[in-house]
Amino acid sequence: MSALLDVRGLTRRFTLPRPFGRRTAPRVVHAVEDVSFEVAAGEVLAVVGESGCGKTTVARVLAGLDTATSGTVALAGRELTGGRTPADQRLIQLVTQNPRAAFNRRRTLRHALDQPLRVHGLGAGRAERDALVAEMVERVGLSTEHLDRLPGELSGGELARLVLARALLVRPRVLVLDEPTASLDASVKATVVDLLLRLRAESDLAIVVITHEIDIARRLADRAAVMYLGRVVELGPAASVLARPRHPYPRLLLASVPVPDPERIGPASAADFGAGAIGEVPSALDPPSGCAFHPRCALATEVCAERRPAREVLDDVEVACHHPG
Amino acid sequence: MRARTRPPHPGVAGWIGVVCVLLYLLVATVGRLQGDPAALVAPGPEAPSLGHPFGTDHLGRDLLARTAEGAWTSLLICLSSIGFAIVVGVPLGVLAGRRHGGRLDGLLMRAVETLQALPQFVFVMFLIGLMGTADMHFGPLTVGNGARVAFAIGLGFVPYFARVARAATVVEMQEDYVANLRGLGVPEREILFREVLVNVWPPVLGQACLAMAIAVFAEGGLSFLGLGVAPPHATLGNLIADAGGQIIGGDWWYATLPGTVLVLGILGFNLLGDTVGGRSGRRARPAPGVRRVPGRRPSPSVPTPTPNPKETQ
Repeated sequence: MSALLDVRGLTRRFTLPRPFGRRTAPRVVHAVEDVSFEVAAGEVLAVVGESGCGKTTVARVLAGLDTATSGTVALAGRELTGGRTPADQRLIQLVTQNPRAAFNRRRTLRHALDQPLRVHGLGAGRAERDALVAEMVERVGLSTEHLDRLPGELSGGELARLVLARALLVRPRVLVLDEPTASLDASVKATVVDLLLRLRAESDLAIVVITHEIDIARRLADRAAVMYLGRVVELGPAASVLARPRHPYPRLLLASVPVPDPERIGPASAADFGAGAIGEVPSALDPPSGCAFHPRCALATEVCAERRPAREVLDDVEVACHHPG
Repeated sequence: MRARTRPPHPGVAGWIGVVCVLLYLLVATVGRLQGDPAALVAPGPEAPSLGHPFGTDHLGRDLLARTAEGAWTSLLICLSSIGFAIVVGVPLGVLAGRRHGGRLDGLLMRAVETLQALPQFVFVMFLIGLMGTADMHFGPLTVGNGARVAFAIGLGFVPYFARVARAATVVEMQEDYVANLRGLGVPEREILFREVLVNVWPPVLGQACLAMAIAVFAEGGLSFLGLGVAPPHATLGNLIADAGGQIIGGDWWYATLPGTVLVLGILGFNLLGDTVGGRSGRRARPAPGVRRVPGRRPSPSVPTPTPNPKETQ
């Protein structure tokens, strides 16, 4: 499989404004640093990491809503830059986190789903566009009667499916899902995950799922990337990365996922959780020297503070660590 | 919860406002059936009677007909001035609010603040002073005094609507749906004027009602001072000005009845504006996914959104 989406050395830094009247060097937030990955058509890549590690920035840059400081995003061998033409814009679709906020609350869903078709000239005439919309709405398991409502009148699960329908209507090659299940309750989450699995089976979309929920990533992804402070620390098949990670950070991440144990009843206690993380996530304003994870890492040695580990290929995964396990 | 959004409940003050506005409109429309406001129907001032419910003025003209004429003129001037202010002010505000803190925002807002440096009424008087009160002729086009008063009041309201529209736009631009529409490749112009504008309208309409009250007051004040529509054409302001000299003679109805109609208009539009602005100006909470780009200041001029009870169902 050749890669459909090819991301190379993606870096995004935000410069903070200087305090008024002070001549200090501008402070820079290192949101995303040198992120590279590939996704093939029909493949699902999960990007996993805790809040603030740059996942959403990656999604926004991929979707062309933000411009990378450096690095490239290429689709089928063609580079897509920040200021995209409408025709390029539709190739990579981003589905944002909160389905309730994704639609204009004073416009009917029929308008919301028709608009992208009209803008891109997909489907000649109103009748044909209506047919396309109706077909897509049924594909995501809803009926056309939902279309004449306002977003506020539908449930979160229905809206989540309609957001997906809208993104798919413009016939993208890549779908980027930013926390697709974060704001949904358990039953709705299941329907959305099932829908995504079905989509993957039916189409040759490349899908990037950005999530902090490890179980969702496990269920959906073929491959997984783990991010820490803007960098990818481990990248490889989901079965390896999300089950037996080599880097200490994903190991810590997996260890902190609570394991359901039907035998146990009653509240948990602190002792139930093994050795947690040491300290807090460092600020992206001033990332630690060497390996960004070394201040919190149990395996850290001197070299970790001095030199940034290069990405090495171990078996089938790429790991950026001096002491991979 | 599938119920259609209910129309806002006006509350007591709102109902009083509705009644006042309706009475004002009743005088301005049905009152005009009373007859010719310029016709002399009595030898001199007469107290209200069945034939002349508002009495007659010092020249013996029917006061109800004159008050109706005044209220109608005032209504036309105020509606067209507010219309002008909305047509000019709202697009300016939406453009300024598109990029909060951007160059265009700074430029437009400084211009608007320059206009606002003068109190609005003084600014309108200044404009009318510049234009004079006589009819103006542009080729075949004659611009009467009423149109110029409407223009002056309208220009005075442009900053007002520009600011309201800008504040609403700034809030809307941070909503997820704007990013979603951009991601779908919807052109920026369509996002601003077909999507964001729909959500900017409700606060603008609320403000329009409040502005109506101020405009009725301003128009009345201007014609009271002789800067508005000139006699013999009746306006509420010049009726009250004429009546000033007659009060000593005991003709209480002459100043009181047109004055009451003026108060009905001002009070009614004010209460109505409070209701409309207070209810429909309420908006959904911003999504938790909305991110401030680091480096952008939180905006002090943006109203804090109140949580929408529907969101917590």
